[in-house]
Amino acid sequence: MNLFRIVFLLCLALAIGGAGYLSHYGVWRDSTDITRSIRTGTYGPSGVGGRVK
Amino acid sequence: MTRAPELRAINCTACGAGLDVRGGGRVLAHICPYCGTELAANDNYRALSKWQNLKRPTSPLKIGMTGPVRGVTFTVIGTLEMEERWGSQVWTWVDHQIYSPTHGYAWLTWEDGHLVLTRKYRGGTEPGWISSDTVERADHRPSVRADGRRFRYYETSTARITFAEGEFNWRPRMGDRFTTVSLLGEEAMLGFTDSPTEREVEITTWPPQAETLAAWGAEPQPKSPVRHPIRPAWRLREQGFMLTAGGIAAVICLVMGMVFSLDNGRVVLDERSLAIGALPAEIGFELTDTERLAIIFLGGDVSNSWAFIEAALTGPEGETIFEVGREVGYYHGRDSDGTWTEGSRDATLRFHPPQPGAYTLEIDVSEAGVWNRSGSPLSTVTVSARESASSGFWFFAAAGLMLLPGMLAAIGHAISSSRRWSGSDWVDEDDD
Amino acid sequence: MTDLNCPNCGDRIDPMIAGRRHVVCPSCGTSLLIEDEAVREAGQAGVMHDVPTLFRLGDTAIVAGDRFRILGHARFSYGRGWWDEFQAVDAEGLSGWISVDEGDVAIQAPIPLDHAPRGTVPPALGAQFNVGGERYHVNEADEATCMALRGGFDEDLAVGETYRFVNAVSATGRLLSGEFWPGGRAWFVGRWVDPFDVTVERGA
Repeated sequence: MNLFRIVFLLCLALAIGGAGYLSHYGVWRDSTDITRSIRTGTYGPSGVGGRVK
Repeated sequence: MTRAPELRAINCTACGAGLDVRGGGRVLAHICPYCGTELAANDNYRALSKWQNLKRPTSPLKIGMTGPVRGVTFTVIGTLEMEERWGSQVWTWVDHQIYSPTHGYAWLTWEDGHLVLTRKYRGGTEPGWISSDTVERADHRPSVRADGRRFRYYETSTARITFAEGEFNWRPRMGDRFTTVSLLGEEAMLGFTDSPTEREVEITTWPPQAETLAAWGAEPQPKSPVRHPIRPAWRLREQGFMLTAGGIAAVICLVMGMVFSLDNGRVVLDERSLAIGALPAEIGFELTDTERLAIIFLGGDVSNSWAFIEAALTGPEGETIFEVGREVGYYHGRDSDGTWTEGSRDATLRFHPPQPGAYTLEIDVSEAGVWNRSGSPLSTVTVSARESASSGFWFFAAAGLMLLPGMLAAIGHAISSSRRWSGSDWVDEDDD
Repeated sequence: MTDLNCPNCGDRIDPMIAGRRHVVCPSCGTSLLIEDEAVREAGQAGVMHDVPTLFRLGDTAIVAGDRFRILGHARFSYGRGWWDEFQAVDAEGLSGWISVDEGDVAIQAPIPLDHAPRGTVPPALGAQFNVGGERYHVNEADEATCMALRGGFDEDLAVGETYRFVNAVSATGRLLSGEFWPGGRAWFVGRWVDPFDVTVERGA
């Protein structure tokens, strides 16, 4: 075990965690024609992601 | 045998020049650097033969230089120039015999701007010997196992000595030909050499070039333009770890991805069937979760027909959320290969509700058609809805990303490995 | 193990070395035979020139995890130079020999005569035998004279004694060696070792 491995494993853990978060909230997984169609409002929990025009 | 310490300086019996004795008791031949006479070092230095030695070969190492080999000090005691001819091509290199009283004899070879170290190989090999005949007859690239490692055939070369000076633990003779079958491993080359007097197995390694030359007190040399085959292939030290850890993490992600993609949340609208005659129709349902995905499922009972379903969603305050359409089309039949199906009867609409409250969905069919005579047109549209659904997508994407560093490193290593072999003279008979 | 004293100079002999049969007193250099704890003189120790060696008396040589304590150092000559034979004891207390000759290192253990090649005279170059399931052929045959002795040995060695020896090798790199002297012979089998694979723990 060395620094590189520790960092690499941390990155993997973060990636799994991040994927879990994004998958749970379905971030950016709205149907594409709907995202183009939505004219107002944000999606996802507040604080995440931008607005869609 | 170790040389008795009384023997330090000796004179050439042919020309009288003083000779520096640097080797040990196993030295058999001492070739005078002044007159080229080969003297029997173990027989009162009587003259044996004479070497022409027209031109001393160029090499950063010279007789008398000392340097480390794996921490042990060796001395250069002899120099040979070797020549190989094949057709019109000529290759030459310089072999320096080096000696240590505790660790014996070895070679440092200077070729094409590379320095390599060769030592006698004591371990057994499986098979015990490879000859050039074996190579000629082989259908597949021959290989040898030694010390748990595999060495694959690289080349056969026949060389002769064109210059000899200094001390050697054998008796070099002008015109002697040495045929060496070389097999390359990950970090070393095994050489099986047949000479007029004996058979020997040697192992050659490629040391860090600049450091080794400096440690021997030699002039720094420009980096060689040629890639040496023994030089190990480029490899990230942690390549294996990245592949293993990334692989396990990727598997975890694939499993999680499948679990999450099956999670469609809880029902907010039980399946309703709408007859086509009743369209357009409006259906209401409650949505409370604005943070997670809501899914509207549409279905049509098309069979060898198609239909374009329009869905418009209105929010709690009467605002239009979206107006979209989905085509459903399902085709099936039979042909020479058996039954076939194509298309889908279902469509999904995924979105994040902007606010909690009562939503209204208006369903209509704008166009529909039948594909062939056996087709039945759309008669019923089914609608259902769920909220708080998950997506598996990000886990699948993460799985791919996790494999990337390990795979890139492995690909880089594979490319570097194949470059090592580019100089091999093996030709696969099957290749055209 | 009781203390043993040199009958010549009275100095104490290292118990580890005293466990062997033939010992050289480190103080006065007299060769001593140990028989049932009685010590008697057997001859002189000879002259041992100080040259760089891989390891010395009292060191422990470690090869592939096997530990060998160096208890005896014998030097044999043939002609212009010499090589060294070291009596060594492994972790289990088994005796063997480590032969060192300018980077050629071999570790061998004695084999009982009923498993060894038959014949009371040294075989010729090229002769072949089967020992322990391996085929050996003789590649070296010569005469050696004992020049010097230090430490302790299982065998009865004497400085100035000459014997004939043969070395035979197998395809897998194993080494079979035979020694012949008036009235006796001994055979040893073992393997060559790369000197770079030998680590040395310096003794006291």
